[in-house]
Amino acid sequence: MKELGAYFQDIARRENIEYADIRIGYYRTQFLFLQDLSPKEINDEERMGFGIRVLYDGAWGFASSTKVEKAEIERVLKKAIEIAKASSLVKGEYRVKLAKEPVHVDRYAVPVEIDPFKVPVEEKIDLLYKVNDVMLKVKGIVKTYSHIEVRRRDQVFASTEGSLIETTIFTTNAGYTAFAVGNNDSQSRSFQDYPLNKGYEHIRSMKLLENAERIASEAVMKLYADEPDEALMDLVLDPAHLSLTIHESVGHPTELDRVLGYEANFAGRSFVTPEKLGNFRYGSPMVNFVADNTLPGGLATTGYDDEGVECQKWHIIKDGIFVDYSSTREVASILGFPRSRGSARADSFSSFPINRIPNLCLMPGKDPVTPEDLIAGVKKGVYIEGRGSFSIDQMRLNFQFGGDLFYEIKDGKKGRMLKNVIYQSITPQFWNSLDGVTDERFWEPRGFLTCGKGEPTQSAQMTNGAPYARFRNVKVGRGKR
Amino acid sequence: MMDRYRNVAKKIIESSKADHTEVFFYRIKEDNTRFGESRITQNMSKDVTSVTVQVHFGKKKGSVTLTLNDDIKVEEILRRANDIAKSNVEDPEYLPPVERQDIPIISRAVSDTENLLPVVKTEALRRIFDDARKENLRVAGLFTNGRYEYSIFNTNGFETYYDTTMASFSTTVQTETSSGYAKDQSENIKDLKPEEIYEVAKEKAIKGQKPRDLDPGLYDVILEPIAVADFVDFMIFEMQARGADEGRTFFTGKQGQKIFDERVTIYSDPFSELNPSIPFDNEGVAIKRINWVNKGVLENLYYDRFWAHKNGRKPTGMPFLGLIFEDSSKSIDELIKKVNRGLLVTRFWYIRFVERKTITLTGMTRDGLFYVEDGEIKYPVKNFRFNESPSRVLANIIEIGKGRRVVGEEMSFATYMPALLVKDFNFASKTEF
Repeated sequence: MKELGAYFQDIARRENIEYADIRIGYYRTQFLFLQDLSPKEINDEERMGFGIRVLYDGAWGFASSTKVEKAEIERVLKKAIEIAKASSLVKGEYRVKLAKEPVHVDRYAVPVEIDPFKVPVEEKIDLLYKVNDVMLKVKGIVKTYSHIEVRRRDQVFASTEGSLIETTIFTTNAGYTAFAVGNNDSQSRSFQDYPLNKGYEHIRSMKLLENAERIASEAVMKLYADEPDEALMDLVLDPAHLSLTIHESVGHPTELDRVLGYEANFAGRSFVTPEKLGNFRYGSPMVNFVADNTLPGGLATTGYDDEGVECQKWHIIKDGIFVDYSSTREVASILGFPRSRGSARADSFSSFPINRIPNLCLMPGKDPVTPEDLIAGVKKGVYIEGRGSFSIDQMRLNFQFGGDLFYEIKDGKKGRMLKNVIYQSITPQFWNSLDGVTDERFWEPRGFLTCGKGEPTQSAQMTNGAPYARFRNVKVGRGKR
Repeated sequence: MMDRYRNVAKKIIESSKADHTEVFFYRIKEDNTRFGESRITQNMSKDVTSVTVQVHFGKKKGSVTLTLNDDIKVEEILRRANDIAKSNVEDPEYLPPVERQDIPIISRAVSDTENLLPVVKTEALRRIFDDARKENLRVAGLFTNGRYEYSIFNTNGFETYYDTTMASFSTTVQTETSSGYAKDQSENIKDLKPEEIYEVAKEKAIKGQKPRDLDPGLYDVILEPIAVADFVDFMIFEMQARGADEGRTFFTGKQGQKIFDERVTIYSDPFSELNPSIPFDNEGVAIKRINWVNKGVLENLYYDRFWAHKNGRKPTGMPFLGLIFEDSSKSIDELIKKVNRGLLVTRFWYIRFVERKTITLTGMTRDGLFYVEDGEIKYPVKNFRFNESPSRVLANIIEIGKGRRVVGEEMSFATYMPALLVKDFNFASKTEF
């Protein structure tokens, strides 16, 4: 593939264009899904192809193909140029400019101990089968789902600027859900997905089987749990839950492309407008968000992004103040930033790279604090584990989240189980109400494989790590009327 | 193109030593022009065909999916699928592939739609961008033209093929304080009118400027068809017989009962001109006209092949294909005239389940929310979050309006949906714009 990247550079440089790049990609995904004891999907998928992006007279064109050979690269380059020429006819005063990036000739590979594709399919199926079998034996469980997903992406990126980058990325994930019926109700409880850019050693370390009975039993217990009072109260949120709140209320609003209107038709815009840079109090002084695409195991830790920008580490929110965005080369140049933050990602060779959330993490506190310490400081509140319902407006202000497991907190102690809890807030109010985080012992790099954005929708992966955290006076309710 | 797929499938099936072999093809050839800030931001072209080969050995199955090129390596694909099948456990819910069926081979492809040139799309956009700049508006959106093919073959001699094109145009027009949205689509590019769609969104944006604060609460609402689609589609998703029989859904024990207003009739018919669709589902089940809700009565739930077999019934095919909610001839303006105090909702956004057993959903209004009083639109209002269930809404209908074919943003299938005027829709909180 590398030779074809060099070939592309050679032919593209002869064209009368401002810039061009190619991504030649091989993607392999093995997905195993069991419903109860029935293997509903055991599939191995391979996709291969390339996409060419061309900048002509300040406007983009993009074309792709699944036929990875020289003559086809030449044909598709011409097509991308033709499309870019069409785009340039209506660009108005605007011209695409790219923030500067050093030329990189490099190779990056996610380090893995165990290649997940070399682990026999039998072993993976056997694990899922046993997990579901254990859960189905718990009285009250009527349905179980379990899955393992392993991915590999090999990519060559080559640009007319001279960058020639090879990457190999492995990703592994697993999770499962039990559904219980009884007490005139139906409830579920999940072992939450925990994807990382690691080998199969990650799946083996997840203790999937060891937790199956507990997860199923908790689903049954939820049937008999009470619903919460509707009131302002405190929340203590676990890292798996917080990852989603972070993703929606900090990750997306600080994507610079949506701030600049590129996603207004679908994903929306953002309240975090450029005049707020360096002076907007996003959260309390304890709130520190670091974007780190060099984080070991992080889902956006890929060496380079999909326009050849080296992965970086930077603050998005420092001591509660909003200080930076995630960005691509194009949108970084619009605000006059010296360099892109390396956040351009495409979900396929046939997709145009767009501004995505990096590995964006809430940092743990420096003082030794445990989850129990946070709970001890709550007179009336709810402790929430795991992810549930989630929704946020297109400016990323009004949000509402559920969860997977809930306990009442009363006078500093975790009490009875609750169900059907939701909380609703406005993003800056919520993050300004944070008054406690646990230390690094309790920090977890939770993340997502299916972050949807763009039109047609693309799926991206990133880690949104967090400690446990406490929030004061949040509106809690039941959701259903 | 069916011949190409048939030839590939024949090679695979003839080379396979499995008890059964199935071959599925899906082609997406699509050009997408995205725009934002009144200029093209991405202009893309792709043509990808995927082939999935599934083999059966006894009750064990394995499958492999690849991008289809001319140099397909049949032996290698079969070896990999066989390896997976042999590694698999026996499926207690195993069924052999579908038998040969009489499914009409349909092509709705229009070559002008498939082959629309980038410069032609650009010309349509130029007029829109020029107007937006002149009016000090910002416009974003997506202009798509594509061709889509689906084909299935198996060792029982089953073969089917569906071929269609689609051109679609959606746009969000923005002022400093408001936005308006509109979208339309057609198999034939000649029937798609981007400038007219833009004018609808523009009018919404202009009328929506300087929205006022209103308290959340219960309001009578007029839901435009695209809002109905995004909202009701979540309920359709729950209409599986298996989930109901297992006690997990709202529909448990309700089949045959009147659960909605008697004016509610929802059915699938892929051959209807109102919402033409693919006439088979991904199991190869032929889809014929079927009522899901008839005059408010829950008449049918979705039976996949296994659940139908287990319960001695016929599979229904998936309800999403060719879905139609019966409408009336009443316009949105006529519905507005019937409202004493309520809201007109253009569109919803980010709908998710809150509580599945009651199909309680949450989501936001977006791109045009207007206060209606004494039969007239009075002023725009800031957006609300709702916590509400389609099961309650379809029982609380005041009036059903004229429908149209829409593709919502939450699920990508086309539906024919009416506008609805409903009583006491629950808005739970508000936002700042």
